[in-house]
Amino acid sequence: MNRREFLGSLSRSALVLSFADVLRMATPPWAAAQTAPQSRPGAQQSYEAKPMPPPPGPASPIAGTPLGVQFVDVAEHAGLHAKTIFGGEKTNKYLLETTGCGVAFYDYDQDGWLDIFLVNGWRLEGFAKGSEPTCHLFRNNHDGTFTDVTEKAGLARSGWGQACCVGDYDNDGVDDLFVTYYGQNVLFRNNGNGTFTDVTAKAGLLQEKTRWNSGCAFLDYDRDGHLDLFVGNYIDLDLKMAPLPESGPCLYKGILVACGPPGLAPGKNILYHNNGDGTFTDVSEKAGMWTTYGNYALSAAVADFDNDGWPDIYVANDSTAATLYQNQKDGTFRDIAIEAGVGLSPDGKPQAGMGVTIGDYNRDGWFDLAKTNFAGDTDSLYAGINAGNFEDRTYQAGLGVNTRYLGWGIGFLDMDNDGWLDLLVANGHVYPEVNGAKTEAPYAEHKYLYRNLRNGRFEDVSAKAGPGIMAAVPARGCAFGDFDNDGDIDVVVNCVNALPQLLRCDTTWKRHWIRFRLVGVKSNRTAIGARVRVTAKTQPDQPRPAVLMDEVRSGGSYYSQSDLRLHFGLDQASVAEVVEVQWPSGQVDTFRNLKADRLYVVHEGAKEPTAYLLPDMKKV
Amino acid sequence: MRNPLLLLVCMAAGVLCCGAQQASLEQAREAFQAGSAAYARGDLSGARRQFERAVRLAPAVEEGHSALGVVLFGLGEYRQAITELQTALKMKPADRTAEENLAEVYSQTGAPSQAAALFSRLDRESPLSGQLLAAWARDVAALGNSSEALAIMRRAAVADPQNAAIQDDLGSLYAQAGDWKNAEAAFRDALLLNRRLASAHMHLGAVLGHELQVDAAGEEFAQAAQLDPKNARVQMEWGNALVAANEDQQAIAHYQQAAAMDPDLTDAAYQLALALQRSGREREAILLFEKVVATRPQDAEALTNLGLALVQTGRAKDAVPLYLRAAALTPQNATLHQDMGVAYLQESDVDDAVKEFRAGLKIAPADPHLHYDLGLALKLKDDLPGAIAELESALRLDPQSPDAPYTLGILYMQDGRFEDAVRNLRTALELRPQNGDGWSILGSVYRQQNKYDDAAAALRKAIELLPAQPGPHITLASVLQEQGKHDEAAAERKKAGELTRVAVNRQRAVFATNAGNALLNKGEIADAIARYQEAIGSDPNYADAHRQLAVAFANQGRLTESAAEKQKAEALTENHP
Repeated sequence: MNRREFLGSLSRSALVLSFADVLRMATPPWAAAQTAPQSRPGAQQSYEAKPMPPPPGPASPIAGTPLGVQFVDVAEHAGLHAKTIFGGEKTNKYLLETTGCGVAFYDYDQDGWLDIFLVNGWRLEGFAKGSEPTCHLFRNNHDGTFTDVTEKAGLARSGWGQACCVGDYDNDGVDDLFVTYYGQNVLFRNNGNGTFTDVTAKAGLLQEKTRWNSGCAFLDYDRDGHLDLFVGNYIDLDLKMAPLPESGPCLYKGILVACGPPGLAPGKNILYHNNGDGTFTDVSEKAGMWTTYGNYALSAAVADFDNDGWPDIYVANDSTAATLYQNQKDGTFRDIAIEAGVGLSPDGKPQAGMGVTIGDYNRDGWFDLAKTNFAGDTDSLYAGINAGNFEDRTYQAGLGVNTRYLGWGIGFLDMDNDGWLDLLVANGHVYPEVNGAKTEAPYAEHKYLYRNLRNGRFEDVSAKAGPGIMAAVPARGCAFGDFDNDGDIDVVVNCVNALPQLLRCDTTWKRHWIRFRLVGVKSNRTAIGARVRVTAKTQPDQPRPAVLMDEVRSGGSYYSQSDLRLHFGLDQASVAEVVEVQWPSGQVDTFRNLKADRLYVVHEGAKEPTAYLLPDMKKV
Repeated sequence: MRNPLLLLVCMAAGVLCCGAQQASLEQAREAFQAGSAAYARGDLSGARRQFERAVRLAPAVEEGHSALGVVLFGLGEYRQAITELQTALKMKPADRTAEENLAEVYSQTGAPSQAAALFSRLDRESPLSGQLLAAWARDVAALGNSSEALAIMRRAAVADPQNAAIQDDLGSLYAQAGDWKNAEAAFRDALLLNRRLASAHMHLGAVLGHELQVDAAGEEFAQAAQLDPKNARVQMEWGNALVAANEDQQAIAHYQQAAAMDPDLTDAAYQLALALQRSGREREAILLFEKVVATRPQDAEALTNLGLALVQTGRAKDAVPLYLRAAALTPQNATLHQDMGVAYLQESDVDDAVKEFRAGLKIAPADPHLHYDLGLALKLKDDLPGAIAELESALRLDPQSPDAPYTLGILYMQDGRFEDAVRNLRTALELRPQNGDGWSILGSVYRQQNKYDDAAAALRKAIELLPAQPGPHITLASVLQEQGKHDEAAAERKKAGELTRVAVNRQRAVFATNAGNALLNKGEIADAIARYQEAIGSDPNYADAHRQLAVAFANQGRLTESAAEKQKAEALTENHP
């Protein structure tokens, strides 16, 4: 390879890092590693992103207007003092040490205030008895602070924790918690009194071998009213067999790093069918979980993408094509990711998917997908265009401008309540070893925040959105929800070998919003899979009212669980003209003229929802 | 060196006969006669002993010193030769023979300015012989005055028209001046005078090689090698001629011969290293470059090429110190800054890379490569505006290179500026139409512009060039879907699916086989067999899995099954070499 050839290959990787390019740079294939923390702002040399004008296209009505939103990290003040431990802090031997953990915004005690559950990890060398890191549950004190109630709740579990997801698997009216591990997953039954019981064995979820379980989501795939459970599997990893960085050698930009996933056997995704009696049955093979183009599953998110009333599953796979399990309505799924246009990059190449989010960012009535990818690549934006078909709009939407950072958690959120979904990406490099090198991207990285320009495009507003966005941290999972019940969406971020971030959204906008908590009756009690459509005239001069939609969703982002309540920004609309709830059971409930700025608790089949004023959940 | 000894001995004899110490002088005379006889038979050591004895016996006799100086020169004792000749000239400044000898000694001992000055004076006093003119010309050439050297050498050729060596030298000076026609003529003249003059064959070969007459050059080099089989330079020049004709592989063989013949011939080692580097044998080249650099630590070019070879083998970290040494020697070398920038990029040190590229551009602001490299480095920093500006400069400065427009096309695509992306990609593809990836990306951009006919055409071109890639089929399928050609779209998806499945299955088979190999190495044969069978299940055509399964079966003593698997592996290898 001469100098020009080297630069040629570099140009490719600098621009659109395909899987093949990654392989070329890291011989043999790349792997991951993560380390330590230097998590606080300023630990890493931060890079001042050069602002780019939005891509050409239809004029944006908000171009050049103030952002009006700041995200401030209040984790320390809030008392989120639990450091997430995960693998070696400086170097990693195995990919296992790199993937980090998820987090949940989860109202476990049903007091109307979001609590926070942080998955924790482990280290290869282990810990002395009594000093093992555990997962943490922080109860919301309703005053911006939290109390660590882990021990009391019975959630002090240790191990290589990965993802968490929430759903009321036994329909007893309180949401339960599922945590995945490299090792045995755990189903925590919520006792409804602030405590949990490990019912893994009782529920039939014990695994015979050590598996690397990854992203998870509850869903009612057969619409029988009982929540089933999808569990992604990343690598079939046997630490005794796994290669060490130097045995490859496994290199990333000349740095020895953990090997994989290419070269390691892929894990097999699992689908558990809820038997309706508190137990599950593994139906993975029969349901078509193993006949996919891609593998190395990381995160999963569920939605009815083709609007046929049946939930489909999207899986962000590392290094290979993503998977879109289309529900065949007969208990089986078929991977249609490639033909649907959500499996690959715009030029048809596999990418290294990490996290995924779902939302209707262009308000066309079809769910869209956004996925985080590896460093050197763009994140992906797939716009749903009709039943089972998507278009890759990454570049048109303006997401092609950032390729340097490595994204994990991701979420559509209406940060300014204007009725248009914005996008937040939590970044952090996978290899802690980059800290010792002068690579273009550090280990701790700031986030990307994109404002929806309402014309199909986004604008990178990271630098304008406050210190919480620009602080460099090694982020992994992140979840979205309004922890302080002030009517805007906050973000909690789990970082590796570091303290978490709690990014409080402070807005100067006085815009309206509306929020729903759904309670299934015929459908599963958590109402996972229920779709809400809100029709409202968000702008007075709008010729037609806007139709906003979302579904109650378990899992998503990276390994995380966001607020199960559905939040819609209404901008200038003080009333939602029509609210339609389509339940998984098929029931459709319609409500008219609901006042904005309230939380509505909607029971399936009820004639009217119950309205509450925030922040104190005062019944109206 | 001329031979003045007969004259010298006669003169010395006269002086000695008139001396006061008759006996000593007589002994000195006898020593001179003996020295002269020894010199005449080629016994330089014997001549030296006798002349030294004569000088001891008659130290005041100039001719003794002069004769000893000549002999010492012949023995390679240059410093002593100069001392003796200078002593002789102090005693007898008008001794032209001694002066001519001294000039020649200077000439041969790497003191061209002293030699040239002396030759010049002597020539003014009385025209020099052809041989001395030739020596003078060589000194003048060594001082960098080619045109004057050529003029003097022409005089030498006129003065001594039958001297093949002088014609050969004349040809060399013509060649140095780039006058290949006259050079060739002079070498041919030299060979007309002496067909066995190996150096003339070698030089003629070099000229013909320069003119890319490879076969004719080869004949001359072959003759030179036959006449002077131990001359490493012949092989080196032969190699050079082959390199000029882009025949690196053949050149390498000759350079290797040259290096074997004369391990101290650094030029041969260097040229061999360069040829190996060009041939993709960088690791071998590095060893040679290291030797060259050890011999010539101030050779910035060699340092740079060693650095480049190290970068080519992924050792940018080792390359950077070498580049820094080279940069200290030649700070105004823009290419060196570019190379150093590339090394930094390989180390993922983008900031330092940017610094080097910018330093290079200060020296060579119109260098398109440097603009291109800087553009790439800036893109790595997500500085899209800066990257685009540099790449646009690269394109403007070198509109014939497809690199800049291709990269610009991708950047504009990423920025959602599809019109600009298309314009640049089309330019790149006009310049390099075999770029399958380029067609694929162009098709993707057209697809995103909803220009479906254009997209389909570009994607079909991509498929033609990249038949095993599923990507263009996938994108084409989406285009056909939009065009309402559902059946064709389905067919493309099916092809893509099949290509993907083949690739995935092969990947799975490779992984499983590797895992099996690890188990086999640990002696866990049953588990290894399971892995190999899993690999074969994924891809029955993967020969390695069958081959390894055969080994594992053999380890278990299942020889019949082993033979069957081995046979399958061989059949697959034959069918898919």
